[in-house]
Amino acid sequence: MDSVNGNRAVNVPAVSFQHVSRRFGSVTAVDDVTIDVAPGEFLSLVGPSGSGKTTLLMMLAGFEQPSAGRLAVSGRDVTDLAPNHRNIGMVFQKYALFPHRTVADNIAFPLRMRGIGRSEREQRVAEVLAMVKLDGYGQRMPAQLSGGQQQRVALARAIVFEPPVILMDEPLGALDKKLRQHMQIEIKELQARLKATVIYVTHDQEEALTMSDRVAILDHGKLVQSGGPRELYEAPATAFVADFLGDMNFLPAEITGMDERGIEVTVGGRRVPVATSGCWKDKGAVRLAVRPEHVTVLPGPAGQGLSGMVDRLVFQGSNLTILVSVDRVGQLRAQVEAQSPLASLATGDPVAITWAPERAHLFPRAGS
Amino acid sequence: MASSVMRWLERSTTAVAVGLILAFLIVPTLLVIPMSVSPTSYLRFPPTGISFHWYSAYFSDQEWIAATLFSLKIAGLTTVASTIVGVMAAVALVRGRVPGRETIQALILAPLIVPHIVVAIALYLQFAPLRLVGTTTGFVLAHTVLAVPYVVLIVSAALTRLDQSLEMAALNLGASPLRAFLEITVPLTAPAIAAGAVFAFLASFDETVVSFFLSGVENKTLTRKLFEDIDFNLSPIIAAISTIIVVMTIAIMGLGQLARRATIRKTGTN
Repeated sequence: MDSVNGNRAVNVPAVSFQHVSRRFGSVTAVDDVTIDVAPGEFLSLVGPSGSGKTTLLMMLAGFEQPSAGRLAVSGRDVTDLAPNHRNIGMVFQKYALFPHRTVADNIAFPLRMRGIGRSEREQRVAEVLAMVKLDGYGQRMPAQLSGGQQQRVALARAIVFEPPVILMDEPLGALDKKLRQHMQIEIKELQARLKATVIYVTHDQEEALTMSDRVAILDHGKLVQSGGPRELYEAPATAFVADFLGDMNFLPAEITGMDERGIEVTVGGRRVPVATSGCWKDKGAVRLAVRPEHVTVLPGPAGQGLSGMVDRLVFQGSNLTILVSVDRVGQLRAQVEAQSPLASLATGDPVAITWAPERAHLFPRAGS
Repeated sequence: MASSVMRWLERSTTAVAVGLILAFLIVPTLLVIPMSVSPTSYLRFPPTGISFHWYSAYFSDQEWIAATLFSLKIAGLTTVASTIVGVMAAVALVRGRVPGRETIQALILAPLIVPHIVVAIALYLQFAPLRLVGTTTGFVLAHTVLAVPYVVLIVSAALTRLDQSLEMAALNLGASPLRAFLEITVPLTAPAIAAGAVFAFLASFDETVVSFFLSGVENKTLTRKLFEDIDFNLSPIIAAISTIIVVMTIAIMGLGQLARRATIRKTGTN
């Protein structure tokens, strides 16, 4: 019996969205999204505002009803279940701590709702308070805590009843950058320790890349691509994903020829290295994308590749961004280490631009 | 230099205008206080001496005390009824997905706009065949209709300000909707609910027009009794009772303010 359940638990996704849509009048906030989240996985939903990521979360929590599709948690269909029967942990954007209750009462609230006795409640509250490094803060009121501490209380309240999945809706949005980076690590460590399944909504792509096992990118309610952070970063499926995650140079390019070995691409009339195995069948205008850190800058006039002129050097601490004006193309950003010998380049110096063929991505020209 | 003189002139003109308006609002009310201590048997200002004769006359008069107690009873019951109905209506209007919400809201608030005399005549015509005229039930029903809008307005405003994610968090953590309402919504809007209750109490206790129609020979509110008395003997007892009412009103409003401040201190929010 136990082994049967054990096997089930391995195979059944912790959360499953099946063809979920949500329409508000004529606006489609979520458009036919299907995605499974494995137990113990940290999945981030990212996208610009209005992309439907929060609506997706609200539907899972039970505060929005899907217009179509089903939602399941640990194999149980929860689509028609009231929010208070879903047993899902949630950290709200502004924490939503009860201002009239002490920290301990806030954390004990879900336990009390589940009819757990006082002594066990006190013990479990003390445990999670220690887990979020707030021992001894039980009797404070939420208003007496700093933003980071309130964040931790919200986290403690969401994990104390050991829900199978924890939702977080831009939980670090209100914190300053330093604290945010600190809390990212803390949340990630806590999640790993509890082996908790987390669905994390953020509009901060950097945060998603840092924390997630898998990132799902939404645009206009549609799931555009999902995969590991490295996979998405290195092999974006669309120009939107390429642009949204990290920094990207887009150059107008042209497919001028193709044979069995590959395709020939030019930018501004000059041949550039591209190693795409993609499904490009026709010649014509495309967009070429290459990340600034993958752009190689060579001092001196160009032999091969693109030629250009240094516009400006931008010092960014550990990195240096070189802005290069490429003839007949426009400006391009190259990122190098601050210690690089290229730091001695000056405005107006001629440079050659190139990149490793596998670093260039091709996308259809917008509107084609 | 010239501009600073202009500014000074402007500011002092504003101050004087505001002062005059405030005086205009409050002085007539305060005039009843010196008039109530007049030893004469008719209303007189300024009073010729100081005497608490009319206060003791009020407290020793069976009829006045009966009317006062009746008014307090009606106001108390109205407060309970209209607070419950008003809070529920406010929650439905602000949080619920009610079809025709604007129409329902307009209907609930209508007694604030429709002249009391119209409400009074309408209620009288409806209540007479039902034998509700002159009864406690009739009064409480009528005054609840008049008091509910105050509760709805004040509590709606508080609910709109209350972060809805607090109620969502309670549901998410396993509270039933009723439990979430009682443990989160009610405590956090308690100052507004209390303020609504105060207004409901005063709306009933001060009400004259509807009471005029609904009062019977036995069950008579204080306002109706005051009205009758003015008709045939204009003694300072009227001023004495008015003073008691004014002092009581200020005390109730003050208590409401204190409760509000205490809540803000406790939770850091309002």
